Amino acid sequence: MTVTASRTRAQRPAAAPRGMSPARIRYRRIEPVLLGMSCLVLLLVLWQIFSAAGIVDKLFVSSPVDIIRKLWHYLSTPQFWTDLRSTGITFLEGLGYSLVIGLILGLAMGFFKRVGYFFDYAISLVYASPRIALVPILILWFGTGRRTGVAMVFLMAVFPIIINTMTGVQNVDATMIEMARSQKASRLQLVRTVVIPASLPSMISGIRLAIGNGLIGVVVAEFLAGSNSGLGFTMQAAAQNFDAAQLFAGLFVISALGLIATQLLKLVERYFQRWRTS
Amino acid sequence: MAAGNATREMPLDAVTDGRPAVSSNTAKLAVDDVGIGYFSERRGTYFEAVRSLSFSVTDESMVALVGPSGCGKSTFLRAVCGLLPHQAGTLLVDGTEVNGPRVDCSLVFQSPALLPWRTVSRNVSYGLELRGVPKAEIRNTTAEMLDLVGLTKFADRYPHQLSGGMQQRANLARALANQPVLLLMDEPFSALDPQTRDRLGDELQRIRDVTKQTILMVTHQVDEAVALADKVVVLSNGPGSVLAGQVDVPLGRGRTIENTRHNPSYGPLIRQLRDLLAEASADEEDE
Repeated sequence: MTVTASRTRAQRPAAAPRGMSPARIRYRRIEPVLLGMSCLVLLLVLWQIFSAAGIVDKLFVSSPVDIIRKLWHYLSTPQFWTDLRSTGITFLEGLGYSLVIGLILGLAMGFFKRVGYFFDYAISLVYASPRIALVPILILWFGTGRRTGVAMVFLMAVFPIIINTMTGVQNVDATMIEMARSQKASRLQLVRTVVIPASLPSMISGIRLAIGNGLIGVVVAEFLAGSNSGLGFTMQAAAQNFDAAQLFAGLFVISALGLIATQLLKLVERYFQRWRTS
Repeated sequence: MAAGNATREMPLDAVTDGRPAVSSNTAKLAVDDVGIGYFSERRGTYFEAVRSLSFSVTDESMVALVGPSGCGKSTFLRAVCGLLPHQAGTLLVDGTEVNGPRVDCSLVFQSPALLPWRTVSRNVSYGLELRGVPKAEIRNTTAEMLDLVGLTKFADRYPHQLSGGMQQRANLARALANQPVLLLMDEPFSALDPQTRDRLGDELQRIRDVTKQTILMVTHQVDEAVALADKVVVLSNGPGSVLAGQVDVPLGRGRTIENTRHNPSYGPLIRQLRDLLAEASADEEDE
């Protein structure tokens, strides 16, 4: 008895359900984006209308048009670049420290059981508390100025990195470790060739959280201790002067910074994970 | 070389192809009254996995280790490789005692355990890289091994692009790349479907013929043991596995899984082994 292979259902080209024109299919594809964007647009339009009509007080709430105008103006001032540099460098410095300490400690805690036990409670304790409330204490210790900002960024960013790295290491497939040991890998080789590549996704998601948390840290630190420059300082000064438009403009810049940072991280991630998409 | 206390070696009349099953009598693995155990954190007691086990694996032969699930076969294999310590008796690989992880033994696990971020080729060369073998030699050996297992065309693919059978072949290539004195296999084909399992079993025979590799394979499938091995060692169940018996499989080389099944001695051999296993379980109940 011979069995002939016929084209299975999966092999036949997919036919559109009856009654769907090409235009309708195209619409279906962009529907999610369309709906999402229309919600945002609707909110902006309502905001503009309410603001212009006086239903809400322009002083407190501003309007999209005013904000864009203010943003445009702000970007052309030297103050903008000073602010950007101040906040940017503070953020990067704090992030740098948190990367070094966070990754190393996370690796150690995940790899060595007892190191993990030792630091576990202390870290959980500090992570669970609202660290942002520590800014006044940091001002006491580091004064107003950039150092407080760096310390705050560090405090906010280091914990997600530690915790995610540690979990990533602990979740490395045991069979891979056993295989490496059976190939007589030394401890160092084990970490270098198996543990680190395997826990990379966890490390990266930890860094992503760290970026978000770190930005919160630098902005709040600048609210309270920004001396005379920084995006947070500008926002806080604008609020005191009832310049709502300026405040929103500052907020927009910070959000854009966060977006750029996470996109850059995505590029790094894609580089290390290119084996997945082969 | 010590023989076990409960050895029952009863070769039956078998149709061979004329070639002797083994070419020499030196023992690549000598197991003498070995006991293995470990402290179980979960139970809080010392757990004996293997008790006074004795048998041997001669050069260029393949021995299958069978027994009921959980009877310490895998633990024993790791001890032979030096990954676990043994508490009693002597384990001699190639004449030298096993004191720690041994470079001249390779272990093939049930799961391929390939590193997903490395290509097949770089996975096969993993062990060689760890030992600092020069690059040119790595390239040659890797190419040779890939050719041996039939994966040359897939050298630059990643593990997730390979089927289960191909991954296991890569696993085997990696183990063989170290040119081990003794190849240890822990139920290497049991995660695969029957067709692939048969095909890989035949491939293993072919590789054996080419490389004259000495193999100790743990399996819980009696038919696989008879089809592939020159000798089958049967372990009984706990506490502490002991040797229940050894059975020679004089079916000679040049077997394939298919023609072995049609061999008239196949049935009796299977029955003999099944009886041994049943006895072994019954003994446990009497204790």
